[in-house]
Order: sequence, then structure tokens, then C-alpha cells
Amino acid sequence: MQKRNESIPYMSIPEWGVIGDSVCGASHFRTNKANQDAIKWLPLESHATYALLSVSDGHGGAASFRSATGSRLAVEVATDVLSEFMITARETKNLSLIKSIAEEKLPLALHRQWQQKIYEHLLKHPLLKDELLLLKQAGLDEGDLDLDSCTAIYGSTLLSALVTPSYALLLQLGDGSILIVTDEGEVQKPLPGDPRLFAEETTSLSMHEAWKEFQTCFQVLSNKYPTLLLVSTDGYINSFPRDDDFHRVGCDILNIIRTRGIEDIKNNLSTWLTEASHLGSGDDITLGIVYRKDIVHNNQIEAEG
Amino acid sequence: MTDKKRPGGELASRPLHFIWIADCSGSMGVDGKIQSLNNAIREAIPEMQATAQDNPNAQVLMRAIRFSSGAQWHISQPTPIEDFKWEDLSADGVTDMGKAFALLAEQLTIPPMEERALPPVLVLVSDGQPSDDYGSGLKQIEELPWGKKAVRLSIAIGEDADHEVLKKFMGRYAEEVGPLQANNPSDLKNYVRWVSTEVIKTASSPPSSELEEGASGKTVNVPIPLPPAKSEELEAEDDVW
Repeated sequence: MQKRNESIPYMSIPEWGVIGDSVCGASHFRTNKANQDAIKWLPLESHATYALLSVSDGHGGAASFRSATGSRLAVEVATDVLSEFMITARETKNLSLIKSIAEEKLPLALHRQWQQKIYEHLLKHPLLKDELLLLKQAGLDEGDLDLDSCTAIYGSTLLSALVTPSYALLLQLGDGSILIVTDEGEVQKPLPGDPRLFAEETTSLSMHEAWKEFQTCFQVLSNKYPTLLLVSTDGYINSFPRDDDFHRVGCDILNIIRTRGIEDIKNNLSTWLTEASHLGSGDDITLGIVYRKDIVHNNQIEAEG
Repeated sequence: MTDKKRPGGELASRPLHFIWIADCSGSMGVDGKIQSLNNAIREAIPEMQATAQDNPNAQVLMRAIRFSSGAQWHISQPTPIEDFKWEDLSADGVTDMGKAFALLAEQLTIPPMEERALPPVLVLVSDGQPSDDYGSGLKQIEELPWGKKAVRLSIAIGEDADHEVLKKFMGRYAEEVGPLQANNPSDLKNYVRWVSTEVIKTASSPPSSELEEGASGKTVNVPIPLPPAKSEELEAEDDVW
């Protein structure tokens, strides 16, 4: 653990861990379709005082036949862009400046860099014959392909959470969910949600001005840190009939970590998500969990060490 | 699946509301149209149940509205397809389609519709022209989020059906498939079977799509398959309606 920061009188700077999993949806399983979700996180090392987690949900429709690649590139881009942002932001203590850069510059950077990755991928991997057929079935000809319709082939959402010693930053483009759980087990939904996102329609990185559609939340962290952050694709929330049923995931996971340890989550997460997809939405489900390491039982930390 | 309790509350498949909106005006009683519709829907139920069974992640819930002189819920409770039984419609009166639209609009708000429902499937079946102001009822539907996002299809029975009105009901789906023209019992049976199986299949596990229209070339939020070709057994001269 690092030395106690003088500006944080009640709590030392916490260490963070991340776990997560992504499972192919029951309906995709029935139709032999690959998982279109992706997840990526940092840190990979122990004793880190930051955590960065991103999930993405590829649309998977007829016009988005490369969305599994689109979602993978989305989480890679998010990891690169947000890591760089975090490192640069360490050079200033001006949290207002960090907040304004996060809100004003990051969505554009994420969108532009994802687009760039898509163009590079398309140049390296031109559309195959069967993909051209899919394009035609979606109402487009190769000749109609412009920059926007190219990216539509890879259409994906993006949800990211970054926690540092002094702030937490959440970004969301498209459907899915980010929840914060407090020490007391209270589950909070920090982003307001977009009422336009229902009936399988979502904002997407493939939209022409996707950067304008990001929702962001910047929280200054001083003496109270979140206990858990849960970031998931919409297949998870859609598996529960009511918000309350879904929000219970937050306090249940906190209880499991406290009583049975993080290994129990690691060992069972894939099974739980698969069960949720089978009995619920049928969609691909991805869940990433950022957890404060001091909530884990001491034996667990020793085992990890 | 696991010996330890998974996190979260109850899990549930997503509701898929399917609503028949049936013209029961007096003209539907001519040449056995209403009985053909009754037969077609009743005969489609087992296939519909089999289709629904293939996708346990959608809970298909059936209802029906009848309209003639006024409009009423013929089957008012969303009924799971596995328990669904068709009660015969009878024909009498005028064609108050607008009242049926207004009745439908009341049920497309959230609640009673669930936010996490799948886009509902609304199927209008008619053989004539509306006798009331259908426009205001249709406007109510189109102003509702679930009204806009619903899969709206129509079956025209006979040559006197008002295609323009049916197209307006279908909205963006009119560009995809147009009103399905049934000129005989065989056509009607095929189209009822198609909406009850192929459309349900697609609507029960639709892919996500981007909100913005245009870039992906999409015109509807739930792409549906092509309808069946008209019956080969009966040529135009065999049309009865």
C-alpha cells in the first residue's frame, strides 16, 4: 500500500483490482453466432492505485457483420486513450482542468481513434465475397460505401470506467450499464441514461457524430472511494425484469467478495453470466468489476500476493 | 448450473407483445372472410407456439382488438402463446378503425408496456375503408415511443381494402413489405402463418442497431424477412374476394 496522502485524511489511497468475463448469448449460441462483446482492463499488476475497465457491445445486425472486431477495437482504443489521459493528468493537480479535458476532449479522441482503427482494419482486410453479399442484403452496395457506412459494419457501443487516487471518470456511449456500489452496499447509477435507447436501438461509435452522444461522469475522490464499479453490456440488464433485480447484483457481489472472496467471483462469473443469458435476454453478456482491494478478506490478498 | 447462488434478483425472458387488430365490419361477413380469418389464426397457433419454443428468451404475449361499430379488446389480457386460444370473431357494423388505433395506443405507453420489452408486433387485418377519423388514432400511436418502434404490418383482404390507409398504419414497414394482399383463403392463411412464425422469429431476437438512420442503410429497427409469394395453387381467376 502507498503512504497515506495528506489531502485524504480519513482513508489511505486504495489499491484496485479488476475482474470480468464475457459470454456468448444463448440466442447467438443457438444460431452459431460468435460473441459480439469485448472487455479489456488494467491494471495487470498488483498493488495498483488505479483501475481502467472498458466493455463494448457489437451490434451484430446484418449491416454490422464485423461488429465483433468493432467491439474489440473499441476496448483497445479506450484502454490506450484513457491510459494516456491518466498519465498526462498526473502532471496537474488541477482537477477542474482534468474534468474539462475529460468531458470535452476524450469523447472526440475515442471516436476518432476508433474510426482510424476501423479504416486501417478495412484496408488490411477488404470485404470478402460473402460480406459483400451481406452488405447488399442490408441495402447497400460496395459503391455506396462511404466513411460512415464503413464504420456501420463494425458498429459497437463503448462503456469505460477509470479510477485514480483523485478522481473517477465514467464514459458511456450506447446501451449497457455502469453501477457504483458503496461500502454500505448502496447501489448508485451515476449516469442518467438515455431515454432514446430502447427497442434495440442504441447510440454507437459508428454514428457520424458519435462523440456528441457520450455521457460522462467525473467524480472527485477524496476521503471516500467507491467500493465497486460494475460495467456491463445491455444483455445483462435486459435479463432482469426490474431495475431492482439488476441492482441487487451490486450488493450481492459486494457480499460475495466480503464473505467468500474474490476467487469465488472469478470461479463462478462465467457460469452466472451464462445462466443470466439462458434464463434472461439471450444476448451476449459482459460484466467487468472494479473492486477496492481493502474489501477483500486478508487471506485473499495474501493468496494473491 | 452452480452450487452457489448467483448475484442479482429474478431473471426473466423479455416480453414480446403480439396484437391482432381485426376488421369485423359487416363486409367481413361476405364470402366467408371473417371465418377464413378465424380459421387462419386458429390454425397458425401451433406453429406460433413451436416458433416461440425455439426462442425461450422471448415470452410471446398475445392480444386482439376487434373493430366494427366501435372497437373493443377481443382478447384483452396479454396471454402467453402457450396458453393462447382463439375465440371466433363475428362480422357486423361499420369500420371504426380509428377507434381501434386509439384503443391500441392506450396500451403502448410505458407502463403498461415494459421498458425492456422487445419491439411489439402489431398486425392490422382489414377488407375496407375506415368509416371514422382513423388519422387521429394513428397519430396517437405514432407519437408513442413504442408505437414508433413497433413492427407494424397489415393484411388487406380482397380488392376493396384501402391500401393507402394500411400503408400509413405500417409506416416505415410499408417500404419493406407493403400491405400483404390476400384475395382468397389460401393467401390469407399463408400471410397469417408468415406473421405468426417468420416475423415472430425475427422480432424475438432482433440485433441492436444504431439510433441514427441512414448510415447503415436501415429503414426499420427490426428487419423482417420477405413475405411468402402468393399462393400458386390459386390463380387470379380463382380469387374469391
